[in-house]
Amino acid sequence: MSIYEQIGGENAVDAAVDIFYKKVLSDDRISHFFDSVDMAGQIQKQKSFLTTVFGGPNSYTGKDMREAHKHMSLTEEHFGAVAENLVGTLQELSVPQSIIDEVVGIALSVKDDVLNK
Amino acid sequence: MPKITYKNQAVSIENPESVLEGLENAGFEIPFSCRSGLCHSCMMQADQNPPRASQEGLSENQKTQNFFLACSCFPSNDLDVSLIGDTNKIQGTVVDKKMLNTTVLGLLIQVDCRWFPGQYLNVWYGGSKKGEQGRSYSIASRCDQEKIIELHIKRHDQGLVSRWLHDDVNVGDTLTLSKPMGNCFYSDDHHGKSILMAATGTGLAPLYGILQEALAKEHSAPIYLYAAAGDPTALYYTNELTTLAAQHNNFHYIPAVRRDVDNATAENNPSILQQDVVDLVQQRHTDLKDWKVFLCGSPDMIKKTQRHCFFQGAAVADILVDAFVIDKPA
Repeated sequence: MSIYEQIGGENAVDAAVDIFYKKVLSDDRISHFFDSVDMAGQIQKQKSFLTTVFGGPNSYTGKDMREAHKHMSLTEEHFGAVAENLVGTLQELSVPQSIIDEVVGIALSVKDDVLNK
Repeated sequence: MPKITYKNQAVSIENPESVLEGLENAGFEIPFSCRSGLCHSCMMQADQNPPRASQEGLSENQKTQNFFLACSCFPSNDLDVSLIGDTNKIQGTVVDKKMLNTTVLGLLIQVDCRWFPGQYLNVWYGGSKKGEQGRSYSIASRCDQEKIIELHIKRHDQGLVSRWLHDDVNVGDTLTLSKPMGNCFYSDDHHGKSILMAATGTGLAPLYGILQEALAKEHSAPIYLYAAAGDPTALYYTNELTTLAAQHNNFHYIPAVRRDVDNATAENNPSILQQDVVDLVQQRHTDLKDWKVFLCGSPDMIKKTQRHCFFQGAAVADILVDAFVIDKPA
């Protein structure tokens, strides 16, 4: 069973997106990346992102992640901030530590693509 | 075998093929990414009701317009489909022009199409050396039998299209328009929910349309409308809105300006506030859980206010916005 199914599928992702989005908007290190007038579009992207890191049903590849982020000049600090907010979100939702570790593993696996290395 | 009609070509969908696969097999290029109903890249619109499963994850207002995801659409009936934004041009006849204040023109156009008040359309201008120019305007009127679209056109001194509409277009002229589009409108989903609306300038146009629709549908929960402008002369429809507020206990109209409030005459409105509309909303609305929010006008006001609404409990799906981006002078 994937993490996506273990934590409760789409409803759980929706709850996580809500918390995650508030966290990144409040984080001065990265809030400007998420500060678009198109909030619904932002939510959609974050839903895709969280579904990916939970191993859910979509086929986002490393190539997609690279393409989506390559113009953003992201640094280790930005990546770390997103990861921190992701972990904080999962903790707030009482997701077990073992699953959080797995999610962090998936997030780290696309790090080079996101940072365009 | 259901038939999908796209760009005037009928395509048979083989069971168990999705509309996306069927159209691809027929040689069409449809945008896609995840192919599993999450990314919304392959969103299309149907003339008929699409299968419910193909609308999972879409907003109420997208469902109302028969939007669906081609990758998750396994139809049992025939559908006529198009990509979103693939709008054919339509014609409309100008039936009236009236100035709403010194710079905003109310333009009434008779059309033969359906719309939801709050949606927008493009008006096309053919008289430019640079080729055809389109400008977006939001619709301030309800879609009833008369089929009259009301647009609010602010005159920009450098604005090619706005000056043409103000100065040269006459009653009886035919205009080329796009079909109405956009997700910022009142739907059944709003019924019984408290509504917060905020506009700057002619952002009032879509909200005026949405308000008419809500009141016509006997919306009984509170509705707050904040209408902001630079100074009192830039406000408009103050008498109409004040009258509506007097007629409907649940409707509250709050006009606000940045300067010169003392110049407002008691006649054009005694209750104008001199305060930033973003601050006003932040101070007065601190619990927006389960509220429906409409924000129209300047991108800066929208960004700040939608963030406030989201942090005060409104769901992002319940915050509908229409940001007016002013084109650079042509």
